[in-house]
Amino acid sequence: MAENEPYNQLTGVYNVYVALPRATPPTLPATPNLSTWHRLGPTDGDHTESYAGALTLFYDDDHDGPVKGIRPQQDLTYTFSIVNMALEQLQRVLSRVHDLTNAGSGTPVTRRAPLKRERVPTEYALLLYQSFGSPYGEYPGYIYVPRGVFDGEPTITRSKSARAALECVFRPLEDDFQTNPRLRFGWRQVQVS
Amino acid sequence: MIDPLEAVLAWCKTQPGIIAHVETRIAARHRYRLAGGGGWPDQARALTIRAVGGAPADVDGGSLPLRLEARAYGASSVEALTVATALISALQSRNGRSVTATSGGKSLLYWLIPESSPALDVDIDTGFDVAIVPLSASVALADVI
Repeated sequence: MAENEPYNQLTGVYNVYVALPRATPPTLPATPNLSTWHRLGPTDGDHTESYAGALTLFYDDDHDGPVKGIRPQQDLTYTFSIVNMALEQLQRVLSRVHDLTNAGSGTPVTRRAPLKRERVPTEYALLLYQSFGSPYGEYPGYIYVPRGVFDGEPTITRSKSARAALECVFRPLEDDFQTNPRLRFGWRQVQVS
Repeated sequence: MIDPLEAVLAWCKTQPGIIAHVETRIAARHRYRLAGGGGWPDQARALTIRAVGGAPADVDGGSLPLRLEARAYGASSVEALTVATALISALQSRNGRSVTATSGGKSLLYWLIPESSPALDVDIDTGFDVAIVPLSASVALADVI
């Protein structure tokens, strides 16, 4: 008998896109609008989503167990590793694409990207899209973060036997433009039927 | 109930990059030199995939993990490796799950990935060149809606 439950288990990695803060995510089932969203990738290895923010538990004299849990602070981190070393890709993660300049004039065309990162990092919106990313069926789904920055202290390793990769660590920031306070880090949205 | 090997073979049969080389010659066991005739022509490129044991079993989740061995046949080692490369290229394009129709219903293939690089060999049965690609797969046991 055909079931729905096998769809609940998700596999595969995302297609990663960045854009200016508060860029509009796609209206499912449409794919991301490439004039708004810039694809970062291809990626290598796993993508992770980590929640931080331990609860503070309160105890009182009437009980020996905790009576309340409060979360005073929370963080969210997305990591992935891109193997596309085009300067436009590196610049979006390491600083900002506007600092990319054509060095010199005429032929050959050369391009220059600064090594120093910005003191105040450029903010981006992040879209993690998967065309079969819904746990309810053969439908798309995405994670959308309206505002965040690339954190991390990446090490780019060049080797004779492996390709260079840039580890990216994306940190959502509170976006006060979202009217619903629960959505200030963004949301996960999937097609259900 | 889904036959997981059938699900994997059914997926391979939908891949244009693989079909371009082997056409309909994709099966669990080779069909060269069949006793009654009517099998695959000698020297024709083909792909077989068989289950070999060893993947850790899924004791909780309703899926069947598989360790597979894909054997890509060709008239020469170059042809065999070409078919194997077409298979690996199709696998690299996969991201996430896929649904394929099988005789037991629609199958959900959670992943199908190469486990290591291909090896060239000579097939004992037929004497043809064969490129062997170990694969790892996971198929949902239940058929999906």
